[in-house]
Amino acid sequence: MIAPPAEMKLAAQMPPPERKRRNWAPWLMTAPATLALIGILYPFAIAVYYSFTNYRIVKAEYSFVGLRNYISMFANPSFWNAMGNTLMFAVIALVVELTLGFLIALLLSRQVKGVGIMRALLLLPLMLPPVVSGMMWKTMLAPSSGPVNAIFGLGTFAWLSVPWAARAAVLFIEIWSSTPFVALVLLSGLQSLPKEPFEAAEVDGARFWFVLWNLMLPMLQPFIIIVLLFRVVDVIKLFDIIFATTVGGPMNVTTTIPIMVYKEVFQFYNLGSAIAKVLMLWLINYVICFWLASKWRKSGAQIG
Amino acid sequence: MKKRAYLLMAMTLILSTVLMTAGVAFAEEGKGDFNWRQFEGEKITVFLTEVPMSVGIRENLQQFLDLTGIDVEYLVVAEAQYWDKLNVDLASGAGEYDVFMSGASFCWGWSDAGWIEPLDQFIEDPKLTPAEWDFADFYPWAIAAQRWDGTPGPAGLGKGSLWSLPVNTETSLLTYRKDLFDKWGLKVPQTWAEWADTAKMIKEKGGGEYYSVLQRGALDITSIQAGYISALFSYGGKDFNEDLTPAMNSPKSVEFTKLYIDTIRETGSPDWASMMWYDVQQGMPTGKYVMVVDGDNFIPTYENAESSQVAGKLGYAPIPAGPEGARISNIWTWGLSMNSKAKNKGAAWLFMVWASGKDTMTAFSGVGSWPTRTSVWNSDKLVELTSKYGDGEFRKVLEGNYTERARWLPAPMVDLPGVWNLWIKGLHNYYYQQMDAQAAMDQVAQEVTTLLTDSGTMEAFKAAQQK
Repeated sequence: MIAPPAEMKLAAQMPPPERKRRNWAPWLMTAPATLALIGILYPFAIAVYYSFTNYRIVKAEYSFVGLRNYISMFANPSFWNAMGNTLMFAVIALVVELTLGFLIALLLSRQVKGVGIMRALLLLPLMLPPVVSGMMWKTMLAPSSGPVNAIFGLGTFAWLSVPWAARAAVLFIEIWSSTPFVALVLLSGLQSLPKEPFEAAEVDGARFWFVLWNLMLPMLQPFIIIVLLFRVVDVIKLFDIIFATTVGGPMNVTTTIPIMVYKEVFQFYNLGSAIAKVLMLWLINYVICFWLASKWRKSGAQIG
Repeated sequence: MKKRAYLLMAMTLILSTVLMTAGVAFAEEGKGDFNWRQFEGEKITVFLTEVPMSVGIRENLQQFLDLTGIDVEYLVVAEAQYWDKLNVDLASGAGEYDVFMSGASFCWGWSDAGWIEPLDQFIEDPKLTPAEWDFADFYPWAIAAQRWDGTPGPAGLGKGSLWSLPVNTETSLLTYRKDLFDKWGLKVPQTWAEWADTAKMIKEKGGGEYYSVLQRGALDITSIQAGYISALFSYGGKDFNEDLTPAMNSPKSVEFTKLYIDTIRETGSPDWASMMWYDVQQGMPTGKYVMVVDGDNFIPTYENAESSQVAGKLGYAPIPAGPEGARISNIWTWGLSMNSKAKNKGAAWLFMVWASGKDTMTAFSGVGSWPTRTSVWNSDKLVELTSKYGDGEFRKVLEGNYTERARWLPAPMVDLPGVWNLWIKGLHNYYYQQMDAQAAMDQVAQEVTTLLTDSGTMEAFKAAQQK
């Protein structure tokens, strides 16, 4: 009889290997989020598909048309007008809201008399749905019966019918509605900043502008970026205020991509070409938010 | 003998009683044999928007529940959200609403898509429609507006299937400040040329305190709906020719558009370009405006003594005439349509019959909800209600509208909202003097032609012509 090899003898002495148990816990924990993601991605994928078709909501049949919706969109001057208005409103609104919001937050962070009442008043615009804000301001800006013209002695100036003024009015209403949110987020940021660096700067005799530029703003950066993330998404899809005041007029000077898409779907019934426009907006939004998110991660790491 | 006589009399009495009872029962059965409870226990969902008609339906709904035993669930939203939400439901095929409020221009798109049920089959079925419901009582023009055979353009209107039951109607008229006209010695304009001249005179005499005219002008499709298109057709203009070529740039159409917009620019409020229908409704009561050509459903708001500065000061006249003497008023009708995916169509139809019946329509033909039935318009309630405005002038004008002037004007087609979108843009271009009236309307005509070609409407029209 041939003796078994030494390796086999050794293997026979060793206990049998345990079967590796699969750890299902991480999968189970992420299941709800995964399902939610599928719930979001599935309609998104369907929408992307529809953007390559001539789907009209009043017709059950539709066919694949390739890039036709995108080509005609890029060749349409009305699209560029709407995109220009969208980006113009977004940039101006963000700059003004951030600046005003920061100044208000700075004021509210001081222990001055009446700060409690000011904080409460700040919440009022946030309580109103945007469409209600729009309708309220439309009444306030009425040429001959509105209080704004009466208070400022502006006669019968038609805020919503003079092209440049219509744009200014829409921007004003948007800034009025949204600055409180910016102020509240930045206020919470200011209140969470450590006191020691500022006390040290005061001891060293640093001036306000130095403290602001070299201490406060860099430390506030994560909060600024968070605010920008929220506001960019919101302001790029500006719709309610315009719908309630000018409906995109006069002469399309306040028509944004969302207003254009609304009319494309509910008046022209062209869902396919409307989705193509929405996807352009989504792309811009995505790129900006991706960049802001990467900035936010870096700013958090630097401050840490 | 006596006993036999009594027996005979008793038998005669019993027999005649039995026969009489049977006869009465038979007569009663013949009169009320419509079975309102034939769908008892079934459930329907009704989608409404917040207008007087839906207020009336909700206030009287218990009557329907008691009559039929049908369970009714309803949802009410503001008009701005109503059409969008309804279109999404219909397009998705969800079939959430069995019955919903509708209007002619929307029915065209819905019928073309197969989303709504043609109603003639229900009207013609005596098991589903009681004889006393009286289809002939509806105004012919109100019914014609709900009929479309699917042929795009003027030729298809008033033909084919009935897609909606009209319950409430709106027509256009001229409303003016009678007190100011009397003060300044002005005559009520009979023609559109006189309307423009009167507007100028008002501006001179008003000293800057008033705007002569009040009209819709926001960049919204409803700006074309009432005053403008009624006036255009009265003047001799129109939207489409019989061959579906655009006609908003015809000589007569351009001539009127120029007169209309020039007058508004020179004598109207500077915020014309943001005026929605509700701004007109709320604007006249402020006392700042002297003349308005718009819907008759706004009059109760103008004449509300509690909130209006002009209550009791208004006069009413038919829409001004065009150069050939025509006075035509476009109409809007709120009606009820049935979802083609409704599960309980019989129950849904009974609801529509009840809501459009004489008694119900009288009950809720209240303030601003003018009826679509002749009998209801002539009922004591409506006579009393409508006679109080303008010392009876308002009722007289509406009667003239109903008998002579009212009809649906816009050419039926699926693309109508898109056409009006392009049209109001053109009016803005002229108002802001970006181009002259002819160029502005030529551009609208060109864009409309492209729209009808790209959407397949032109192709469908040509195919219908060849049949």
